Amino acid sequence: MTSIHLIPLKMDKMSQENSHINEFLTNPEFVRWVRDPDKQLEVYWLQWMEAHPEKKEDLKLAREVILGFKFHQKHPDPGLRQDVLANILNGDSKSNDGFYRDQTMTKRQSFLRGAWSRINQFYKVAAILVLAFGLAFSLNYFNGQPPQPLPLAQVKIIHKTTAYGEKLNFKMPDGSLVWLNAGSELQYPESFDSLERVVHLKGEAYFEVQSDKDWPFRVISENLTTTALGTSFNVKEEDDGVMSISLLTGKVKVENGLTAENVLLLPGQQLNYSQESKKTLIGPFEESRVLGWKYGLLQFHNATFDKVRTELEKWYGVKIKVTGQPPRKWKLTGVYQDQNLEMVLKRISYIEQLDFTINEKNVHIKF
Amino acid sequence: MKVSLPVAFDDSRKPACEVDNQNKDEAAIWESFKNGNESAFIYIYQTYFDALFTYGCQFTQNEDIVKDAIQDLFIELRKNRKRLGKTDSIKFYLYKSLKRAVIKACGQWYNRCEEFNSERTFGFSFSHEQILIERQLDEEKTKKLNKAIQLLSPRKREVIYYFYYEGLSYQQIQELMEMSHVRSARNLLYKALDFLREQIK
Repeated sequence: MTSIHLIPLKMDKMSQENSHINEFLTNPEFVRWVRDPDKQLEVYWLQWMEAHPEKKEDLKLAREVILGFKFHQKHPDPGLRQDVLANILNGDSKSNDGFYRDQTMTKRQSFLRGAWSRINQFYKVAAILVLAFGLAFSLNYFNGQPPQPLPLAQVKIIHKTTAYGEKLNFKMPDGSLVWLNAGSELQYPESFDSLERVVHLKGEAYFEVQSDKDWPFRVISENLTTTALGTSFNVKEEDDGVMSISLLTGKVKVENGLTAENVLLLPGQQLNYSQESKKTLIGPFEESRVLGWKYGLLQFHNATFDKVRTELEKWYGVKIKVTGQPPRKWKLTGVYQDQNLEMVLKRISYIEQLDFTINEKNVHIKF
Repeated sequence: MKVSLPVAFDDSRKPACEVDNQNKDEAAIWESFKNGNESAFIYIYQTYFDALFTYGCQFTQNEDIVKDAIQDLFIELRKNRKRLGKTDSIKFYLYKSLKRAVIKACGQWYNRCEEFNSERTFGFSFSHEQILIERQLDEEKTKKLNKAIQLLSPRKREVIYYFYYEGLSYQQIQELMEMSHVRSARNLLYKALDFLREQIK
């Protein structure tokens, strides 16, 4: 139970004290400290109080006044926000509840009409101003509250998954070809949307996209969206949180939902984005290095043991147990074309001191 | 941590360091939206809708007017995105536009409007919900303070709302309230505080 001091309000005195309280009450930094302090403000004002002990009471009074202000507010009804958004995306200027309840236009059409009518306009101008379709961007920005576009007509989603040790090559509904590397997953609709082709990728895949300049092909991987018109490119998501997109032919646009960056890639260019540092790098790449996996080429370039181990587990679908430690500066560079695990480990053991045993899907490496 | 003590309270003082980083993010999101990024648009909408609604309702009791104003505002923004200016405070930008839209929709002149003189525009009161270890204001003073608040003009209540609730700078308040000088904003706040102080003597 707090005690209330019956100290007469200092504001009664027509003295300098008045202006000091005013100084607090009219100081934006003070207000911010009282209502929404951050570390810097805390430190600042505590130091200030120590430096001006005679003003402490005034400060406390000012603080009390500010904390006591209760503002009357109206809050929107739940659902209002989404209703209005629906109207906005539809481009109507007056509230138009009837439109969305209209049975003659399918929900999918009406949603698309509003939100995506800009696409044709863009492609006529031959500019690749692409709309990064919500999902990747918003999942990172919203604190768990994704926007609610109208539900699309029910389309069956196909999941193509590769376990460790597996690779897959298949054709998509539009004729585009996909090579899926080990430990990856690609999701795509049974039949593509009429305005754009969207797929979701986890892991690594190489795409040869059927050329159609009016029908953009989008790969969504983490927070990057890669849009292609008719091209071949590789998308890779590494364990250490680095995403890389390498373009072979054609043109792609890469949008980063987190940093709001947009990049246009030209053939021969690779974009690298680190989730950790949030840095994007663009540079050339070696086709054999990036696409080697597609041709059965296992390669290491100055790889640490951990990287080698992870890659071997993925490539061959095995579990590797390790006894002992590799020497500190262990770095492996090697290229292995269509070789089985035993051959690869044998060759590694020639260079580095290690012993190994293979028992079906279990490998034991001893240093 | 290096900290400097202010000598005078500068009207145009920049906000704290941390806010600067936030401003950069906001500027980037706004640019992204302007360049056609639909996710950015939707993000902006979802982030600020509630605040805009609450703000709009300060000017009128008619929720439909507020809802329509917000709707029209975002339709316009989306349509004219390329022509929009830059900003590093999206909320402030939206507030400016919304205030104009709501007042226009009310169809009444701001200063003369009967509605704006009602107690409910920018209404606030004082209460000791916060558990403070030491209180300077007793029950009697609190009652007097609340009575005084009711007597404040809407414009004074508005400046108090902006300054203490929204945490806007004097410059932003000047813009929102269409004053000719930044110091006018400060003066209005002083007047409001003086008035309150007089009433609780």
